[in-house]
Amino acid sequence: MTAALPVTADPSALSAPPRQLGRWRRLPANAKVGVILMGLFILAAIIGPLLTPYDPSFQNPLPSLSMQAPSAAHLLGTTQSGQDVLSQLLVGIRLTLVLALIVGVVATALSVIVGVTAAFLGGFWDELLSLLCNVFLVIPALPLLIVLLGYLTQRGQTSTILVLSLLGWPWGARLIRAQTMAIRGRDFIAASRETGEKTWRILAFEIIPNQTGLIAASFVNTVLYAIGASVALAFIGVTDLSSWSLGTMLYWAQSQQALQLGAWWWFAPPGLAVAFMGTGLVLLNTGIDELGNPRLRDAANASTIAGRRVRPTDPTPVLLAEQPQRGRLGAFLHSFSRSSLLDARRETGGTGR
Amino acid sequence: MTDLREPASGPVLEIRDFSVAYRTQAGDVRAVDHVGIDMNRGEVVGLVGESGSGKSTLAYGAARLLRPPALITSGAVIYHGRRTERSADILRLTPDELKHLRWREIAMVFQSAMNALNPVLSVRSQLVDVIRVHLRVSRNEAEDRAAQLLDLVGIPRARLKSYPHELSGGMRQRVMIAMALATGPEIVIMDEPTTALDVVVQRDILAQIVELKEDLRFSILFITHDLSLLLELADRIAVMYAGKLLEIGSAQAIQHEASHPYTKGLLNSFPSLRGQRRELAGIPGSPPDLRNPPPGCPFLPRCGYGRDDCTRVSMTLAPVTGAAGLGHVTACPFVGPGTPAHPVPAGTEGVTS
Amino acid sequence: MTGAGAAGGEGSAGARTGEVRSAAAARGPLALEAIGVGKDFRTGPGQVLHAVRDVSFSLYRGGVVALVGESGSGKSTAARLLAGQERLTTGLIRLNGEPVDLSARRAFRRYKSQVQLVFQDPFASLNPVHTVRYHLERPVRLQQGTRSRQPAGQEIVTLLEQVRLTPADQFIGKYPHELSGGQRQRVSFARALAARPSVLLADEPVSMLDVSIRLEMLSLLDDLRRRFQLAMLYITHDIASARYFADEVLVMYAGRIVERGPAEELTQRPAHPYTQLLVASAPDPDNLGGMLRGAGPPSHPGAGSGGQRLPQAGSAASAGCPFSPRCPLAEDRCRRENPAPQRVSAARSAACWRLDVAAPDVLAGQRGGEATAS
Repeated sequence: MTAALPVTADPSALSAPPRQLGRWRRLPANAKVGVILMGLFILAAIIGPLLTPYDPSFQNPLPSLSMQAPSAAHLLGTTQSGQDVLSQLLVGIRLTLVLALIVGVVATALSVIVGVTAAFLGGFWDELLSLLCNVFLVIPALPLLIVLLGYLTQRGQTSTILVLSLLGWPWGARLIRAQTMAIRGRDFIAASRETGEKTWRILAFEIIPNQTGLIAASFVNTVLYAIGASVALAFIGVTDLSSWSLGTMLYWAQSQQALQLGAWWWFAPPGLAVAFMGTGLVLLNTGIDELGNPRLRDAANASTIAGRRVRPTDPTPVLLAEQPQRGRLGAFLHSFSRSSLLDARRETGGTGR
Repeated sequence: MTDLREPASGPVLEIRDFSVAYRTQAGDVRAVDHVGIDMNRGEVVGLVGESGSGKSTLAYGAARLLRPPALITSGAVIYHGRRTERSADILRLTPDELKHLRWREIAMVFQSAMNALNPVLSVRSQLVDVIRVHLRVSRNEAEDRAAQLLDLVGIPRARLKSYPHELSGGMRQRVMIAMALATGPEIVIMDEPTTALDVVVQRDILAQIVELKEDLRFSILFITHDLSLLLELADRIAVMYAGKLLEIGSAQAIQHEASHPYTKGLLNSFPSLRGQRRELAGIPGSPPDLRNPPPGCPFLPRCGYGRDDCTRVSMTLAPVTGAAGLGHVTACPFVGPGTPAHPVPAGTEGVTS
Repeated sequence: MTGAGAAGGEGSAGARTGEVRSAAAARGPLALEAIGVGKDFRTGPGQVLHAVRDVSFSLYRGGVVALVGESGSGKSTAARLLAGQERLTTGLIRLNGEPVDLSARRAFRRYKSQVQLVFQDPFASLNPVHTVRYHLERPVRLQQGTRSRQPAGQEIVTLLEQVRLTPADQFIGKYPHELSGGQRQRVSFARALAARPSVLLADEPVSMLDVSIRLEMLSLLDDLRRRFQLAMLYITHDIASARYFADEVLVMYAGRIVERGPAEELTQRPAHPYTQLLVASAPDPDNLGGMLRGAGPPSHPGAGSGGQRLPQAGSAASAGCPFSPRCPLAEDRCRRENPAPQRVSAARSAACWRLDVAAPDVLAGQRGGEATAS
């Protein structure tokens, strides 16, 4: 690690500001990957079912088409009963994603309502809502889901959505409650009371817009939870198995011994789809974090700008002015020369790693 | 108390041609632009400027304490310590050498003691930690010294067991000063140490600082936006504006022979409790954007003395013509101490009641 | 004046002997009165903090009353009480002679169209997600019942021009983070003015700003006061600015007003030992190198000494004078009984047992005219 950074860039280049970059270019690389991944899945969910080559439920009676490996006719092969895996996948992505998004919207709305109300009303209502929150948090979710769905007579998607939403809100509600408490004490809330705003307006127009980052993150997290939970529930067979989702695909693949028979094309696509969706959502979440914190972004950006990595705990880097001034090409050529090596060694004082 | 020998003559710190830029997405902000100032032994140098003038950046940058997007782009900071064998350029030290220099030779007192102190450690353990890290003494010796330090800053020893939140704001600031003095530094950089305190406490602490300085013979770089405070406290005052030094002079010279229009404006900005009511003027307008600094004098848009030549001023400090004291320098070649005080810029009037 | 709701006999006694004519009264008609106002905060089981105790004063149209004190003295709480942001524990507020009851939403809104509060921190008092336009459009619509969009826009431009944010169209679309501290505070002023109030409560309106722009902001406030005949309460910890800006100064300590009087007179000849300490502690630019000489200001024996005094700010009810632990003149009586405000001249009063020692010259000026029981 060096104390002084020998940088040969022309100092006048300092003042050339990279003007007004789009929001997209300011996104960190991992968030970009997240956005692209989720974009692809959403695209698949929208237009996928239109492109399905076959009816996903159509059981081809031809024995030659049972458990067929990928081919030109069936790009992802067929199941034991001759159904086209690609068609199932495209339809399954849509159902899983739609279900997860609905759960995300409903649960996040619940957590915003509960969190903000609890924090803003305070006193008895806060105690009551916090208690409710904690009760829901300590309930073991998956067993409860299994029991609930087992009891519900009608096993449609609606009941899955309802149950998942009911169990998905407390985590976000606690976060939002904490942040609302912090915002509630700020002067601008008192100032809007000064102007005579009604309480609901203060909540909706002064407090909630300040929490968009947190709400977005909470939404993404809930969608992630909903995908995981719905796939798990389908996999163990407690949801509606008559429609195609990534979970039901995995259920049928498992129950018909795809793994033992070596039919990787049957279980790998839905499994990978779930994995990539999860990855995409997690990366998206980090992107939301960095967008909401421009300081973090600038620091991260500067840490490599002088040609070498600078950690936040390092001493302030020094751009040495007495370095011979070279243009970009000159600096590039100079970096191959022997004198540049000597320079670097002198600067590090022999202690460079 | 310290192993310092009698003060030698000459500066203890020389800052030469020092520049710091903040690298942001929208371009470099030249927060400190080719600034030079010396500090003599046992001297209180006051650095005054409004927020964003670069006064803190200058002080923290000279100690290499700024975090990444900050980058030192030119200059040298030469430290002549009595305990160090030879003078050192702080900008060329390795991180290990810097670690030794900070606290041991150059200590800091920050504005917010609440943020700078660790909330979960008692005063005793924080003091002992600092002493043991930097002086390599036994635990018992360090404890003794911690108690002595509290005596020194006028806090009862019983407070050693206290945690930061149990102390009043003034006491916390005193603890910060005790920590800064723990290793007998030669230079103490104080960044608005009393701004958050009440006037009564502020005066007590400043009187204490001056008393300690007389006893322990360290130099102080005192950063503040309050010129009236500096006139009473500092030996020499440097006036900073938009990243540049506009005037340096003894407190007496600044008070009676202020040369730069900005200094004159500052002197006319604060109401005084004593003497006749004066006509006050203030300084209209706001500082320039440091991303695109205007050519010549940055104060021109707010200056009542402005003329065409001002856009071509080199902003180098030159001795004030006809100044009584030595070392009184100004960046304005046109206005001197004798120039009439108020060609009041349009749009302002004094406060009258 | 009645000592309505004042705890104990001392309050009403104070109102009787300490009643003085406000120096701001000459400016215009009476607007807002605080009568024996108090506020307690429950800080724990069985623990009560008396943040404000038995505070009475009046604001007059066109006049400025300064409330001076250190942090924790209760001065900001007093402002919030008057603004209706906090509920009174004791006392009464009267607006234009009518007692104010803010429990009903409609009454609160009507009160807010008369009395506005400006906050200290311009970085916290504007919502970061809203533009300048939104911040001003809401109060304009709420207070003036403007229906169509056009008049509101006109009004906003006028407001921005009134606080000298010109050209207005350059600022109207900006977000708070794009403005400097001074510009934000101007937006805060404009927001308060949008209600067309008669009373402006300014809670340390310039203390977060740079010294170089403080004066400009005060001169702006002064201008607004004159233009709209505002009754103004100026809360500050800087007694020097109160000298220049206010007609009457009230000095607050530990939730009580310990001294009041005309600004110039009070700052030049403080009577209460605490006011004397405040005045002596203010930076004195003419005392060059004063601190370097190691001596505190000569005007007060307690000013430069020892560093161990704990501020007794807002401390719980104790029998004696709250300032007695820090007071160089304190004697037994000071620690036993809390002094009531004592009238020292037609427009001045101070709450101190030892005024004869603390401010003999101030008392002497008044002895000739009237007799007081001491």
